[in-house]
Amino acid sequence: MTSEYSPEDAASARAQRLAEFFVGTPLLRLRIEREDEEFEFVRSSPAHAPHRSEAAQSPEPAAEIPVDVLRADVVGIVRFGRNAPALGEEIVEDRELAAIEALGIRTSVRARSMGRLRAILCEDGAAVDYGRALFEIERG
Amino acid sequence: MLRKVLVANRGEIALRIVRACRELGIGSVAIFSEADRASTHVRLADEAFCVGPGPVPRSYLNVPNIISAAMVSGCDAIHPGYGFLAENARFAEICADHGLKFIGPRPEIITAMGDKATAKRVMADAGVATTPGTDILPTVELAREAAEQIGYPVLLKATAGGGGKGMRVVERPEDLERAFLGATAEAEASFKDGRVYMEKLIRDPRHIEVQVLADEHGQVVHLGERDCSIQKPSHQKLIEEAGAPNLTERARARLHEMAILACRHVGYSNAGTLEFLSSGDDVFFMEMNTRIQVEHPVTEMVYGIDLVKEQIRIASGEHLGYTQADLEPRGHAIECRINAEDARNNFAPQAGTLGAVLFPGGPGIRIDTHIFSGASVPPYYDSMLAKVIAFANTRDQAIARMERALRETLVEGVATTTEMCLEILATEGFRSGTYDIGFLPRLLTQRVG
Repeated sequence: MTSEYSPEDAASARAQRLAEFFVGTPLLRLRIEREDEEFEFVRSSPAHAPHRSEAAQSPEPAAEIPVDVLRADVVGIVRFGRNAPALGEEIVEDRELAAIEALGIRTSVRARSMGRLRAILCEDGAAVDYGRALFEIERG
Repeated sequence: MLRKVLVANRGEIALRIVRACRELGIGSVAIFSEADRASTHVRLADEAFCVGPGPVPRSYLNVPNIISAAMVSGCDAIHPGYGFLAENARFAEICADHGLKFIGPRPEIITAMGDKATAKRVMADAGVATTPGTDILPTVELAREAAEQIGYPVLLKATAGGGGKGMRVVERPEDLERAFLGATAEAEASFKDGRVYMEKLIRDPRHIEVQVLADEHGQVVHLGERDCSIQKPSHQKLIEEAGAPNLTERARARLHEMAILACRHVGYSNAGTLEFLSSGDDVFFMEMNTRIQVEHPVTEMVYGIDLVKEQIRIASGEHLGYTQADLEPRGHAIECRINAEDARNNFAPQAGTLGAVLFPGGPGIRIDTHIFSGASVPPYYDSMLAKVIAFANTRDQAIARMERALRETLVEGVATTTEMCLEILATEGFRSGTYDIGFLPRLLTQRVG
């Protein structure tokens, strides 16, 4: 017996179901990676998170905007360089966006991919702890 | 006085230190792992820094992130609590290198006392009685020779050890090789230091320890003894009390005298505990813990002294301001550890999300805990959830008060040691105060039988 659905249809149906699940949660980002496919759903901002009732009325899948969230992996002080990034700026891969100074050691915070700088979540000279979100980049 | 203290720990002891800082008018900075983000010490400290993910080596032992958190938050001191970095001499040195006061003794003292074989040698030099034993034994052949000289039964112990890890009782020569290999492997896995030494096994001893305080100007006092003989088969303590019941006056006097002698000999400063094995009038030094102990509240209750505040005052360079003659114990205190452990399954640690949590209150009850209803118990850390401390004028009254308090205790969602503690309190051995360190293992064996 053969399936009446093509693999593309099946993937699309899975995306639809996941999108429906995602919009009904308070999550800002959901990424699922499997061997042969990956899905990523991102809300544009927490304020846009719909209530559960709205989610139930809006079954369309959320737009898939791949976003890199750059986080601090050391505790220290954020330092913006001379070429401090500006919100909305197009960023090239590996560009240093800031550095974290800790115990006299400077650790670069670099873009993992090219894209548009969607959010700057830290301030020059501020103390940051492990895991603190610093920048968001819309890949592309 | 110090201005702001980073608390390099988690759980109830982190909260205990934050509270001491608050009462002294000192700022406090908590550190936490991602698994402890919702923890009480994080909420109650003035500031808090995440220092890494849940696993201990990447968070509570992450020295660069901990030191950096202290620096960027403007701390002038670090309190290590117990466990984690509390007896890490290198950490104490790194604190000093960064202008941070380590709230504890000098690094060289931590090094000397941290190596148990060295500690015994130092104490013997000071005139403190120690159990017959050896220095570090690099090979099983040397261990065999030593055991023949000392006489069986003997005890193999990890020199970097604690909590019963890397410890083996050897009753007969034919068991020695297996025990030696097991102890070294366990010590290596637990402490990254597989070295072991040997002691004569004292049959049915009691574990008695003496609390000391020493300022940085040479003044040393003891705050009496604690009996910590109610230990699990893993040698981890479960119930402690101050003072020790049925201790001979001769033994008590010797314990106190030796504790002071030892501290003066090594130039000790800050809070510390000397652990002894006691049998009749005989007392033998086992080890010294260069930090605050889990069971410190029972001493606080009978002496009316806040040991954590004293640690901070001493680290600030203050004089103790009192002498031994000013210290008089009053009443009796018992502590029961409420651990997330299944006492019916070899005290297997539990993890998960707690349901309802309700602790007892009323006269003479103190609760040191970090948990609350709905709190998470991560799998990465020590399983102790709370300490219930009962204080009363007499030991009998303290036991009755503790039984009442444990029956009021409610911790849903994980198995705990509450019922086990109640069972112990009800035994004739505990009520008469005649128990020794084999008491709980024997009780468990009888129950299985």
